Amino acid sequence: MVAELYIYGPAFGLPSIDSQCLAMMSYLSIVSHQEYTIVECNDPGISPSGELPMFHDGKNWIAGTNRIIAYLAKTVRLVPLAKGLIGYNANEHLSPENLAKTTAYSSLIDENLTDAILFSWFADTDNFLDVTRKAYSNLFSFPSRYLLPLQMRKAAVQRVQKYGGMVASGALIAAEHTKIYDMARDCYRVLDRKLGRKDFFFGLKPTSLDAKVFGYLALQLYPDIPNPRFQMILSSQFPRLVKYCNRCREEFFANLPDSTPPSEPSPFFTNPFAAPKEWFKSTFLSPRIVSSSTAHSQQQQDGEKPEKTKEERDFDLKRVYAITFGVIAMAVYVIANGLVVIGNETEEEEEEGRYSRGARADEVHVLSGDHDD
Amino acid sequence: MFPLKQLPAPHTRPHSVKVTLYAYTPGWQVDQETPLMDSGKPAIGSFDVDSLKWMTYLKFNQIDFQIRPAFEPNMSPSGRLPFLALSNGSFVTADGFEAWVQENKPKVTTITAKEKLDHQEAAEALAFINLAESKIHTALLYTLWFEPSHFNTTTRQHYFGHHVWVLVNLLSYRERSRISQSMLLTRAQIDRELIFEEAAAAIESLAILLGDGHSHGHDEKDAEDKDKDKEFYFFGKTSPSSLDAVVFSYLHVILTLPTIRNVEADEVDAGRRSGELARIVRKHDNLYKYSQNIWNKWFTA
Repeated sequence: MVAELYIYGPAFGLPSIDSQCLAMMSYLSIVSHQEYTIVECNDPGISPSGELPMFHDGKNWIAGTNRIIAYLAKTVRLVPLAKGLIGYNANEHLSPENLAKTTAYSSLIDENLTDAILFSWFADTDNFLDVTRKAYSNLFSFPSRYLLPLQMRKAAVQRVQKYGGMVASGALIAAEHTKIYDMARDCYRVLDRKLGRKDFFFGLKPTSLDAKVFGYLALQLYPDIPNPRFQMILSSQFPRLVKYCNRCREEFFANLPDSTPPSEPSPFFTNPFAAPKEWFKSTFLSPRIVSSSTAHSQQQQDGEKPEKTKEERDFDLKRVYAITFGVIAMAVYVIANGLVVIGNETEEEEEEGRYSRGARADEVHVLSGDHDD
Repeated sequence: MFPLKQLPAPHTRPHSVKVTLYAYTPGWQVDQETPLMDSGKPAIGSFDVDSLKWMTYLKFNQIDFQIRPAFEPNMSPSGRLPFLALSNGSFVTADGFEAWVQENKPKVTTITAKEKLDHQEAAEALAFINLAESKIHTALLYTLWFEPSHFNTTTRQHYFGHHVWVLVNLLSYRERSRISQSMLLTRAQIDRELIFEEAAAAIESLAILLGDGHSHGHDEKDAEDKDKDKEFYFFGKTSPSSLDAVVFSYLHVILTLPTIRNVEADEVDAGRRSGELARIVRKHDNLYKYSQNIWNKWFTA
């Protein structure tokens, strides 16, 4: 089947609002993976590890950029021109030493540039109120559209607090002496030196490191925000990185696949509050499709039901005990408190019955009298 | 108007002449399983990575200092150990540590331009330092605080053993929840498999970067065979850099971790799990020898 990539939706003129998702799309473009579609799901709850992007190729669900890259390298495909089977691996021409460097640089940008993006999007009040909140609100559905951006801001602010400043009522205050700009500048300098005059980080061919660096830098360079301080640092001090990003953008995002609805629901938990639409679909709509098989096949399934293990039988027995005990306890409670009375009080009931019957008869009588008049 | 009258302090502590490092010290329990230490000598080094990092960095830069054992993070101006107390009464905490060392290291050391890291190498060193301080650090924290066999015996005793037992329990659980919260800031969930996968990749990358140039001559005196020790440190240098200080600290703390032997019968996996990080490091012979070399040269000499 056609593979699917689950991502956060587009924002700021880029195909996704999330750096990891951008990196993954760039990587798929580098290895020229043709047979995949994009699913904008915006709900990390559908992924087994709680993160997007997630890759689904019909058999396996893989979440997280690093794992998807490792998985794709193992996936074999038939290439008409090359001899034999090769995987989707952009790093295969790298020496072990360069692979080690890839690991180190990826770790550096994962840690530091994520912090930089979070700082400029969430810790800066102008940016958050004017741009970030709107961008995220457009992605989420009704109730979570008002809650999630604030939650994300809280988490982001706690994360960047270590660079200086204080957290007060969900916002970062007194952050004038933050060290995050020095940190980001160091990180850009490292990347700039590594890039040198080359087209890509390891020569003429792009690798997984290029995909990742571009994913992060694009989100700092292209969004139009009120306080674009990281953008200014990049364009004034590191023009080489800006040129590199423009080149990557043209090359990686030239022909992206269209976005489609998911072909089958995620087997993992979906949150009814964060994404009610997806949750409703996966809980109510999809099981119907599965269970709408004919009675014949259901009987077959019953016949094929495997023997229960000892633990399962124990569990069933315990469940029966628990339910029985609960019912008995409830009955005892109800009778002991006199909510329901059994026997020996039939007289009152009969009197009431007779009285009511009489009253109704009178009414009928009166009514009929009125009629006569 | 307040204070009405200011009395002189009845007792002021005399400042020591030497620079004093307040740090967690000494290292893990010395026993037969930790071959990096000779049992006869007094225990030096530290079981805490940050403390060991500072000691190593100071020694590498040939700064004369003395070590005072400290176990109370609140005694530091920044609330974290270690910190430096200078002879003029001021303190150096993690913020200004590296800058202070670069200012105060003796200028007489003859380091040629060839031994210094060039621009490219300095950039690379920064990336690898970050690799160690994020991936290996997380795995080490997990081993110390979330593996019950370590947490219940070694970690708790080493960090809080000087308190009464009630406080040991209280403080160690508080510290553990603080660590888990700080881990959850950067990751969606604490996934043991993923953490160790990443740490193994990081350690392998470091082993590849170090190369195996010094697989020989590790047990001889370095004064006698200088040419054999050519590739002693990262990037093939003959003098250590800050990358060496960081990597050595992690390797040493991991390799000297006490092995948990007597685990209960129902925790079959506990012993194996608690030693996983050390096993990953030992797979790479060059890292093991590198750590041993630095320990012998800078700490036990």
